[in-house]
Amino acid sequence: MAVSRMVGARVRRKEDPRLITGAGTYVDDVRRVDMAYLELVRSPYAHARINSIDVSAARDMDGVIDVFVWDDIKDDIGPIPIDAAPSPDMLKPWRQALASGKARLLGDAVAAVVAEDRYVARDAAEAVEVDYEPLDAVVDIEAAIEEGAPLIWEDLGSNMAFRLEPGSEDIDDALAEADNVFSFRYVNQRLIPNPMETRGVVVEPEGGGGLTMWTSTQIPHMLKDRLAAALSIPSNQVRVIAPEVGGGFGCKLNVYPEEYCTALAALRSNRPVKWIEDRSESFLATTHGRGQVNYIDVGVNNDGKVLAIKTKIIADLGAYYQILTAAVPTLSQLMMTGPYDIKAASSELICVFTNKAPTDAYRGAGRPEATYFLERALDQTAQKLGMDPAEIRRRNLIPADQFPYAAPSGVEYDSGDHVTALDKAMEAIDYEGFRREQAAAAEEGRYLGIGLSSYTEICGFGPSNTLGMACWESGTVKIDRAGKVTVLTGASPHGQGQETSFAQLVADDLGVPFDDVIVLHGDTTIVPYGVGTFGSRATVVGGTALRMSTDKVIEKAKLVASHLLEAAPEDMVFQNGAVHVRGAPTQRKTLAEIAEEAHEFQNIPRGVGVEPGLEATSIYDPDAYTFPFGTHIVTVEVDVETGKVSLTRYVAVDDCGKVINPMLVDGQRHGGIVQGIGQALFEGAVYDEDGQLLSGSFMDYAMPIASELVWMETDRTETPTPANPLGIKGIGEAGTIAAAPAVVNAVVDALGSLGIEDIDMPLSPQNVWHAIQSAANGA
Amino acid sequence: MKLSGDYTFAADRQTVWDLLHDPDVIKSCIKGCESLDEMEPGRFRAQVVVGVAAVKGRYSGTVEISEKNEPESYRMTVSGQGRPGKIDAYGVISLRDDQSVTRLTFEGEVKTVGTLARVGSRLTSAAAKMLIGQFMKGINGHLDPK
Repeated sequence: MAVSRMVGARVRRKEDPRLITGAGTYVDDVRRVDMAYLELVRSPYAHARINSIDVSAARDMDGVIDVFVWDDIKDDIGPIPIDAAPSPDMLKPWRQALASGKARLLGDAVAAVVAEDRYVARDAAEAVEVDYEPLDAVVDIEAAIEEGAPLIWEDLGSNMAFRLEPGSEDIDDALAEADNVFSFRYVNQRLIPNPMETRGVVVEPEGGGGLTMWTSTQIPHMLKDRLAAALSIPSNQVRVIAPEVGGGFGCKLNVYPEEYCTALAALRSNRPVKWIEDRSESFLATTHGRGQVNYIDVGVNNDGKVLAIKTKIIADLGAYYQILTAAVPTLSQLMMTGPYDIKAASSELICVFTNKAPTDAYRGAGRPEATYFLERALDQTAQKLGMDPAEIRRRNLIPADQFPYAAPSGVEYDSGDHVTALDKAMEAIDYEGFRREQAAAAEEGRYLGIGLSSYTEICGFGPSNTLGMACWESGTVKIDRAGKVTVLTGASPHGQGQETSFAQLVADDLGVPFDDVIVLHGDTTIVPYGVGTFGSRATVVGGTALRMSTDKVIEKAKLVASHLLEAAPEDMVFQNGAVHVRGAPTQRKTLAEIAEEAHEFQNIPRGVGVEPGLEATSIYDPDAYTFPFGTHIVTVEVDVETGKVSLTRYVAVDDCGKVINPMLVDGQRHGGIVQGIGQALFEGAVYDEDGQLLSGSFMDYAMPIASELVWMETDRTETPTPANPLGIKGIGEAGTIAAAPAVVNAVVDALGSLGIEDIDMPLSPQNVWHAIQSAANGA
Repeated sequence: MKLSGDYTFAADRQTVWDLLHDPDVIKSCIKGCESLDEMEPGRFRAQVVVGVAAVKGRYSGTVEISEKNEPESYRMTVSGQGRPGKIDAYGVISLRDDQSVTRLTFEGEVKTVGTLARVGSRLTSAAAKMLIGQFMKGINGHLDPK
């Protein structure tokens, strides 16, 4: 029996039938008997002293079950954990489940109300009277660390959370060796993740003091451990279930005050309690992304060879640490030289508290920021040298024969062929042809532009020992008595499609039909401990754990078959879903037959060291990171009368190593690219000087929509990684990382003849129009 | 957000001043004003229903008149709280003679918090100007037509 190969095929997603027919269960679909509802009272000020909170009117309302503030729960709950501590000297304020004393961000929760239904809960929340004394807010990250800025954490004496000094003292010498040194400043604006499904939590108390939590999370196991510790409940009595998750993008890679409050509400009232974040709350209370100001000095010779870069990153942490807040900007440091062979590089990192929502992982997490400042700086450098932007990239990309490549940031790039990806993208878009078209259009007074972005990124987290947190993954493969295969993955996919790709992988490994494999995830009681889905790691790390398990299952199957076929174990050959005796292919047992025998266990001799059943669990902690890479090229036309940018073509050549399902890879790239375009053209969290969020709804926060986008022409190169046996690098974030600088480079290219050298994102019609006017006025 | 304006009344300064300080007149000139009670001289408690888009809602708050320099200038401080959020505003109002009419100018600032800021910020300026315009029109209506 020949089994067709699933790996590499464009297989439709197993997830989709239930999702597109409305049969998926999201948190808000979870209904428990006697369920109550939680609502939070949130600060209308970004920074205010809380003089008093009067909950009596709320408590007296019909239908109100419980109202609590920090003083009521402070002995029952620990702080929000901080999993990232990149500096031993970092200031370490801990976030409480409810703020007390001061509100430090707009939407800071200061009281919780539990009621019989959501409407009563909301009315009661409005009846809680909080006496606030507004304080000056810290909004601008560079002003935050100036003398005399209001302090967010008075006790700690500074708004500077920590500072990592530049590694290399020799950088100024290295810069001095170059023919030119150019200095640039870029802003990576704060973004609001806006998953389609906002956050939500349901908690049901279990007998014996435990609880079950349904929550929209990317990390059910990590959350379970931290929740149990914070509540002082034995961790084996806490069950966390991530049902369908309607988008995470990093903002659900966290442990949130609302998860603590919902658990406390359920335990205090001994009833199931639900909290669903509304859209306005999501804008305020879910972690944000990006928020950096970047300075970069480029030391470059006249021939375009970059000798050295010196960078300074000022990162906006917001008012509190969430679990990885402090780690995200350090990833920008690791990626500061991108795909280029730049021998000398240094980076200084200054992390700053502001009266804004905490930042944390958001698709790309630190890598898009670095790619943006590097790709913009290269374009501006090329422009100053009178060189084509493609040429400066070609002269600096790491040659394929230099891998593994030790980057100055200290990480080792696994494999790569960057010039081939650049060539392929340039050929696809007909780079020279576009330049001719651009010149012809200029004659007609039209402004066309082309933008490149070559990138690499760091993926496939762990290794645990270098990351400073457990970052391995588990994978279980079970073949039941009937020969059906159940796969458990500790990674908690939430839209990435691993129910499909992992089934492809396991079906091929075992030689069983794809339809016979199902993949379960996201329930800490069903699935062995795993870390979760983020950082383009789930397939890389979780997939490898499954490969280890299919290997073990096959070995076990051979052992069982050797007894059934009465031949030596070393003469067993596994092929196409069956085991046969070497040289005697008719003497065979299919995996299903072996599974049945392994379960029945009546034809296996005693005392041969074989356990009943046919399953294996493996844990994989990677030895090294993976480094996907590629080049994206965008063309645009800018209407200089209105400032409107129209995307005309988008070519993406990505290399994520080996591919299990090209359709899933394309889907990840489509979504990723759109998120990058969103940052480049549309999105941005805008605060006024008091810390009020002016872009706090979809009226003012523009998400990318289909009519503003362009067909994405996706192509790939395939450079397997030696870092794992599957050769896979990860593709979840590549699109987002590459897209924003490519789009901005294209727009600036289009407007170069007007004297425009840079425009800060988002390149909204208003911002582009202002840049055009300023350039025209000689400003 | 800064606000300023310039209005003309066909009356002498004292007449305009008196109208601007008469609680009944003020109440009748604020569209949607449900109550305006003087708690102490120069200090009022008010309840107003505003019906403009995202700013819509019932607001209750205080109005305080200070720095009186009759009949030339005064300062008005408004603090209101409604379901959509909180408004804090002040304005310095000046009256001067301009031939046969009185010119009123004001300069001030409005601060909003809550949904008002988040959702309504684009509308706040336009709404404030409209509400002030309605008020001035109302004051004008109390003057005898020439």
